[in-house]
Order: sequence, then structure tokens, then C-alpha cells
Amino acid sequence: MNDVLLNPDHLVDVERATETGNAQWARAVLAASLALVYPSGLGGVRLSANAGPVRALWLAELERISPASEKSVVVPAAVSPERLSGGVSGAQSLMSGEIKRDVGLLERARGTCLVVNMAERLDMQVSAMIASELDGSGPEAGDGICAVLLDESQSTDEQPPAILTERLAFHADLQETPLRAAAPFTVNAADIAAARPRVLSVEVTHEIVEAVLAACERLNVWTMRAPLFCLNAAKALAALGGRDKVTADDVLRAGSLVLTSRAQAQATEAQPQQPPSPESGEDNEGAGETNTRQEEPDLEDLLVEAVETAVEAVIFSAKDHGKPDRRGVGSAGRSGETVFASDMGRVDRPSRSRGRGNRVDLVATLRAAAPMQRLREQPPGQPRPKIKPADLRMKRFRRRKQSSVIFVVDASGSAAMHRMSEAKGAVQKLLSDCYSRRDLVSLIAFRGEDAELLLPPTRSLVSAHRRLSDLPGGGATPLARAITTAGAMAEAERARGRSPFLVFLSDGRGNMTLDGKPDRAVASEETTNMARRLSALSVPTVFFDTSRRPTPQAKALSVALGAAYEFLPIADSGKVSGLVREHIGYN
Amino acid sequence: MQDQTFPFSAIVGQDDLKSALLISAIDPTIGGVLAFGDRGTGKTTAIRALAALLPKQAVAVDCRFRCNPEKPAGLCANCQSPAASNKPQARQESPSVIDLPLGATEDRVLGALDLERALASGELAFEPGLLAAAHRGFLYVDEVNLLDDHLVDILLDVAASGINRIEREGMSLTHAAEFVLIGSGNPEEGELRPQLLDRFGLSVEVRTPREPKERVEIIKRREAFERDREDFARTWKRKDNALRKKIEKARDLAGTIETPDECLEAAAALCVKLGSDGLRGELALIRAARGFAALAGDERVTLEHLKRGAPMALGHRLRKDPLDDSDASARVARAVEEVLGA
Repeated sequence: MNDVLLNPDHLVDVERATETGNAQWARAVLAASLALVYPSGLGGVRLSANAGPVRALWLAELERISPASEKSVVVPAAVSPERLSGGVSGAQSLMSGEIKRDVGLLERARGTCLVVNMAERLDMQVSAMIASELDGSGPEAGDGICAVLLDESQSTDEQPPAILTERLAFHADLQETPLRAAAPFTVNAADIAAARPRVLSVEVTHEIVEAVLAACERLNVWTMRAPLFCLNAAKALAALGGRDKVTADDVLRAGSLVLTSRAQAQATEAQPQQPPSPESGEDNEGAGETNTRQEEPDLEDLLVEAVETAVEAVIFSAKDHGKPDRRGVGSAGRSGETVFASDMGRVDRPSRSRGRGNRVDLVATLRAAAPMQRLREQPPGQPRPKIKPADLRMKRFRRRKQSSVIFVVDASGSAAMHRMSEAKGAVQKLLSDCYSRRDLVSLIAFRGEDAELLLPPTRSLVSAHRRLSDLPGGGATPLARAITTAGAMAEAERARGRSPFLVFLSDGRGNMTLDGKPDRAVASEETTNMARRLSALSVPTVFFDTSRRPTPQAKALSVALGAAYEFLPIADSGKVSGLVREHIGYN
Repeated sequence: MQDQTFPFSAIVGQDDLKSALLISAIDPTIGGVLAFGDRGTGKTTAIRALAALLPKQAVAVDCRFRCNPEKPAGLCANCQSPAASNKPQARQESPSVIDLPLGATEDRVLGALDLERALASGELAFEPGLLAAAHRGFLYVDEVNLLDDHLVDILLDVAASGINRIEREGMSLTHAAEFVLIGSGNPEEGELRPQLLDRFGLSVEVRTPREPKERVEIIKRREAFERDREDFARTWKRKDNALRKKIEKARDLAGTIETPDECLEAAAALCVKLGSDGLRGELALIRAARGFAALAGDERVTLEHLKRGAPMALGHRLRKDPLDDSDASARVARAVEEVLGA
């Protein structure tokens, strides 16, 4: 029946996780099938894939095997909250004179799939609405919506909001899958429909629950949703296979599918690796209690191994194919594409000014016109309300011009520690200041041969604290590279609709060239050139000179950068953050 | 037929959150609860479970303002109309838990002109919003740290005064809106404005359970619930009923609980030690201590009650020192030990 799902050869492929196109397709098929069997317990699938024939085939097959009588509801990331929740339809009401209500898209998607295009551009509002919908589903396995997020992002900097991805069991990746690996699913709608009523009564043993929990812990994935999703996915797989008990196989396949991306996220945000906790050995040592445990390979170990292999393979292949470093600076402007700033269109209170390009807020207009109808000699019940120009209300989109402060800190040489801790202090002060609530702060540190993004743009003090706790220091000074990285970062922030602001902390003396050679003369020239290029971007910049005495070199560099110059030998973080705030205020 | 919610008594762990919610239900004047912390920790589950747990209240039938028929003075225009000659007809209902969506418009929250009636018959009628629906219940704001500033201002005003004042689109009216504000969120998404933080009476940090036994129990109960919701609810009905009676008793007791001077002084000393700004901290601390006393059925507040109430009443009011690495709960614990003894 289900070759793709039950064929042991495929199982081996997936477990060895060489991430060939076939394995990736197989995983994506499994994700789709399981999500459709048990949407109320699994949430749905996040699919990382470029628009193209592979993704199109997957979507078409998803539609085909869905047992729902209604077609999937497809929405763009920019869908308005009103369309999602439904409510008064301004246009129709106006035309007919009666209140017409739209059925919200979320309601229409219940029982079938909600497919979101360009999900990496979802804003918090819409995500929260979908998340809330996902929370409330059940009691039947097939109840609620099956959310499918189509994610076209290339790096981890642009991701669908965590509030949503947290609630989806599966993350499938088809980015490297060639067309020849994509084949029609061998499952069909009847199989899915038959499995649904069986899911909730599938049995799971206590040992399996414990093994899954222990595996999650070892993989450092702590949210309670992870083990729940693993077990639900395993149940769905058992139901699809017509079994009434979850087997170790089910757990391995479904579980590794659920845990791989979550474990991967943990690995990328690597804190120093936790030594294997002594407790996890307990399961193995608790021998003598159950004979079977000693003879069969431990499920927990197998699961952890499967996931770790998969995670390593993904990271390995990413490096291989020259994908941007997971902690890279981000998609610095895809040329030619319309840029959509996700913080852009939040509808504000309706306004009266009819500037060019403003859209009429129909419902507010109706509300303004309604009390006046009697005065306008409209007998009640008249089909069309009389609207006068004074009634018109326009939708005003509030553009939140957030500032994005990018610290570029010299972490080279002996003074590194001191400089870094000042910068860290300044970052935290800026973040905790209530005026800057809307502003984001990020930190790039440069030393040795490279510039590293230690803290991606964030508003969160908690994140800053966590990521800046381990600060590297020492080595040569790749100042030119730091400047180019800063420039790319600033452009990326602009592309997201934010106002970048650069803060350099350095003595201005670079000694490492762009291609990693310790040649002071060349480095100096490159630094000046890069600085001039950066100044062409017209990003407001402050250069804090951390040398012992104000040096002409640092001053010259700040001129080349087009930056404001501040002398700061013994910086204290308060001074830095205070000066930064002042400068932002001027812009 | 309402969907069966997860029973409150069946929630594993999260004792701080559960206590804070129960206290806010016993004494709504305490000013609401802020639950922040990790994702997937059952915050939403707890709040929905709370509403199902609480004693039912008398609500006027067909009333969109959730009028209390026992209080003729506060009835809305509809319930007061000459047609309802005596008390309006009443029904017993669970208190409402209203979700405030992140993108809610002012219209939706405050209420607005009833378009249908205005267009159909030309009359100016008010269509109640979310605040009206939350009267005598709970208003739940998830991701509260991302809420729009202007909505935050509205919520603060109404939560403090208990009255929603409407002046718009040719209408001018007020209605009662007394609700307990419950906010939840993840600090990773951003900081909460200090003004808003301070307005919450209690705050609790919700952490992912790490204890293996606890985690196993959570999974098992969740599974059992999904398997058969009605059956699961029946298993926990007795405990829920017992808890409900406890709450009823606590509510009756609340007004008569004695707060000895020694406790008042200790509370003040604690607040001074922690440098919590303003007087709200002290008030919240005393109310929390009284809440714990009421729950335990005690007639006097003791230092033990104070100790239990301190973290949730004061944890979010500490003057922030961003360079101080120790977290809020550690600071509170230290101060409690110094002022109240171990």
C-alpha cells in the first residue's frame, strides 16, 4: 500500500540521512500525510522550498490526498486580519444597504488546509490569529485547520514567526530536491480518511513515552510540545498503517521527523555543549527490571542517533552548497524583487485626510454616514445609504519606523575583553530603556580574519543576555571586513523597513586585509576604501575611538565613514548608550 | 454545546501560575495576572480551565453587557426597560474569558455604532465590544508585550476604573466593565513597558518543566484528554468541585480576614528593601497574602502568607539594573530571607 512510508529501504535512507533528494521528498511526503491524518494534534507543516515544479507537485498532491470536501484556502502573508476573522464586508454592505458579513478565511479553512504563501513575511498579528485557531481545535483528530506555511527564506534571519512554527509538528525541506526525486504520493485520500477515526484510540506504552521524553532532553529540546508532537505523529503513522499500537519503528520515523528541525535550531544557537547528563544513563542502567530493554537496542538511543545524524547532515550539506552561514548577516537585498517590509501595513485609526493612494475604510465610512441618514431625508430601510464626502474615512497604515542599532565592535588584541564588555553593557542599557522599546539592537564583533554576527537584531534583553554571555577576544584586526559586513547588515535592515544606525567601537587601526593577510599597509588602504563605500549608503554612524589618545587615524576613518566622531578611551557603557541615544534622536 | 476544556485540577505543576489565577479570582481588585515565560507551558490552557472551574454567576438573559440581575442599580438600558417589570430573567453561567486578539481594532474592543440598526431603522444603537463581553470575567491578552500602544492605554484606563466611556459617532454612554486582566507572553519577543508592567497586580514566571516525572505525567494526562475528553473531565470532576467550593468559601471569608500590624510592617519593609517604586507593590503584596490566607481558610494573615505572595506581587516591580545578572526571583528570595527570616 504505502511504499514510500513502509518500504524498509526508504527507512534506511531516511535514517542514514544522507539527505539525497529522495530522502527529502520522502520526509516531505510523510509530513504531509501525517499532518492530514491528525491536524488537531499536529498543527501542520512548514515547508521550506523555492517556488517551482517540486513545490507545486507537493502542493497538488497534498490537495489530492486531503479527505476534505472543500479545497484548501490559500492566503498571502499580507492577508488582512479582517479577511481572516470575517466580519462586516464594507463593499457589499454599501452596495446593498444591508449588512453583509464575510465568512472569515479561518472559519472556511476548518476541516481543510490553510496554505500561507511567503510565510517568512508573516507579521505578528496574523500569526497570532492563526496560532490561536490552532490552539482551539479538536476533539476529533480531523478537526481544525491543517496549516501549511510555504517558506521561501534562504537564511535563518528571515523566518515565519516562532509563535506559529512552534505549533507545527513538521518542518520539511525541499530546497535541494531535484525534480526527478519528486513523485506522486503513494498514499491516497481514502487512506487518510480511514486513519482519522483510528488515531485517538492508538495505544502508546509507558516505555515509549519515557524514551521519547528522554530523547528530547538529550537533544536539548525542552518545550513540552516536542514530545507531544512525536507521540501524536507516531500515532498517526500507526493509524495509517492500520495498527492499533505504536511500534518502535513508528516512533523512529515520525519522531525523527518532528525532532530534526527543532534539534537543528538548538545546534545553531549552540551554547557550550551540555555534557550528557548522568540521568539519561539511568534508562540503560535500570536493567534487570525489563529483560527486553537489555536485548533490544534502546529506542531512546536510536531516536537520538537518528536525529543527530540528520542534523549534522543538514548543516554539512548547507556548508557544501555554499549556503549562507546559518549565523550569516542575512539576505542583503534580492535585486529586482519588490521588498515587503513586514512591519509595514498595520491598519491604524481611520483618518479623514484623503492623501494620494489612501484606501477607503468602508466600514468606518458607513459608521460615519449611518447617524446622518435621517437628516438626509432617507426613509429607514432605504437600500443605499446616502454617503457624503465628509463621511469618507481612509485607512491609514501606520509605518513603524523602527531604528535598528548595529554595534560593530573591535574584539581584537589585548583590550578586547574590556571593549566587548562595554559594548555588551551599552546594548543591554539600550534595550532596557523604555524609549527604545521599538528599536532593535544587534552586535557584530570582529577579530582574527572575520566579522561575526554575535547578536542578530533583537528587542529582547533576554536574548541579548543569553547570546552575549560568551564573548570571544584577541587576534588581528580585520577592520575592512568589519566595515563591509556592517554595510551589508545596514542594507538588510533597510530592506526590512527599519532605520539602521551604526556604532563602531575601535581604535581605527586595521591590520588584516580582506583576504586574510596580515599586511598593515594594504589593510589600511582597504579600510579607507570600504569606509567610503559605506558612507555612500548614508547610514547615520557614530565612531567611538577607543585608543588611549585621539589618533589622526581614527579621526580620518570616521571622516571617510561619514560618521560622527567621539573619543572614548575608558568607555563606560552608560556613556556609550547615552551618546548613541542622543545621536539617534537627531536623526 | 461548549467544547470540553482541560480541567484545572488536572494541570500538572505550574503551582505559582495556578495560585495567582485563583487569588485573582477571589479578589479581582488585585489587578490582574501577568504570566510570562517559555512557550508550550500551558498558560492558555490554565486560563481557559480557570473560567470553567469558577462558580457560575447570575447573568441577565439576552444581555450583551453581562448584567448582574441581583444588582438593579447597575443594569444596562436593555435590562432596565419597562418591559422587564421585575428583575430581568437570570441564568447561571461561567464567567467569560474573552481573548483580545493582537490586531483588534478600537471598535472591536470598546464597541461601536450598531451598523445594522443604523442603516435599517436609522436608530443610534451601541454594539458592545470585547470589554462589555468581559464584564465580571476575564480579559486574556496573549503576547501582551506586542500589543499596540493605544490599545494598552485603553485597557489600562478601563481596568483601573471599571467603566467604559464611549464618546463617538454620535453616541455618548458608559457601561460597567469590571474584569480581571490576564496577560501572557514570551520575553524573547520584547520587553513590556514599565507602566504596563506595574499595572498588573501579580506576575509569575512560567518555566518549562524539567523534572522527568512531571513531564511524563503531563504527557499522560494530555493523551488521556485527547483520547476521550468527556471521560477525562469526569475523572477530575471531584477535585474540580472541591476546588470550586474552596474558592466560594475563600470569597466569603475574604472581607473579614485580619491583617495584623506585624504583617503590614513586614510588607512595607520588604518593599523598601527591594526598592519597588510606588505603593502598588505593597498593596498587591498585602492582597496576595490575604488571598493565600483565604484559600487556606485562615482568618488572619501570617508571615508565611506574605512569603508566598512576595515573588508574585513584587517580582515585576523591581527597579531594573540591566547589568545585574541575578534574576528577579533570586532578588526577591534574598530580600524575603533578610526581612522575614528563612
